[in-house]
Amino acid sequence: MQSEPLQSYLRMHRRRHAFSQEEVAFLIGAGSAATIARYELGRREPSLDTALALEALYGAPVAELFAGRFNTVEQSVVSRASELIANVRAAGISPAATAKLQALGELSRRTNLFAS
Amino acid sequence: MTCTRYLAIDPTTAGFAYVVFESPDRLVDWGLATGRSDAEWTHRLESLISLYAPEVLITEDGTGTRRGRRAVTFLEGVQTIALLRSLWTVHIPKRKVFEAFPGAKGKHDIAESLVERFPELRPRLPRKRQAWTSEDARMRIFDSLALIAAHLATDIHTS
Repeated sequence: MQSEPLQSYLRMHRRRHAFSQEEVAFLIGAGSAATIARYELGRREPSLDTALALEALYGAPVAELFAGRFNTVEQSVVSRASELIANVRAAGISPAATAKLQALGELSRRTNLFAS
Repeated sequence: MTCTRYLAIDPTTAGFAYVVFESPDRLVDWGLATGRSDAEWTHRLESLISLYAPEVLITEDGTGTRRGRRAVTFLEGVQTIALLRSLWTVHIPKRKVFEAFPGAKGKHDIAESLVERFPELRPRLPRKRQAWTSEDARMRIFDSLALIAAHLATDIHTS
């Protein structure tokens, strides 16, 4: 039995630190407690500045705060990367191609989603 | 990255306590949900299930306990919701909970041990109950988490 990660773990991190939604809104400079509630329930997406403010506040990377969303985005990158690998290989060997394949290989190792 | 997500619930006099937990060791959410009517708590439980999409729903095994009629009805209702949502349900007898916490003399000892493992629960830990006082509803949050701990510690029948 396996579950996909939640779209957001904001509520968990907020409660671990015993902050109220109002306090978090104040700390990250968001509108109000209702805005934080919407972020936590996934009804609204935070801006990049807000996401980074949340990372700074909770001391957890954005990828962990929005684990489900990160998985979706990562899978899209990985699927495009496999296409790019094929294109780079087809174009022939060059120093740039080797560097690209190395970077894509590292992406592959990190994600374990496709074979390089 | 995948995990198994559990939702444990335990009836209170005015609703239910809940804990959402991801294996191996992540306490995701916890709290007390109150409802004046069956419809209200049903709605609240459905919202929790929709939000957290748990794989497993854990409740106390109410058979042979001294639970009141409302609690028994509540647990039957939970069972129905779990069936409709195709959730795995696990019923943990109280005996198994105490087995998972060797040395615990009562529920408060179990709660203290859970607070050591999950310090974020400390603000919710009620004072030790005196013989002449009724139980604080917050203790049900710890009871719910103890059900999950007992399930993870032992292999119990799943329906």
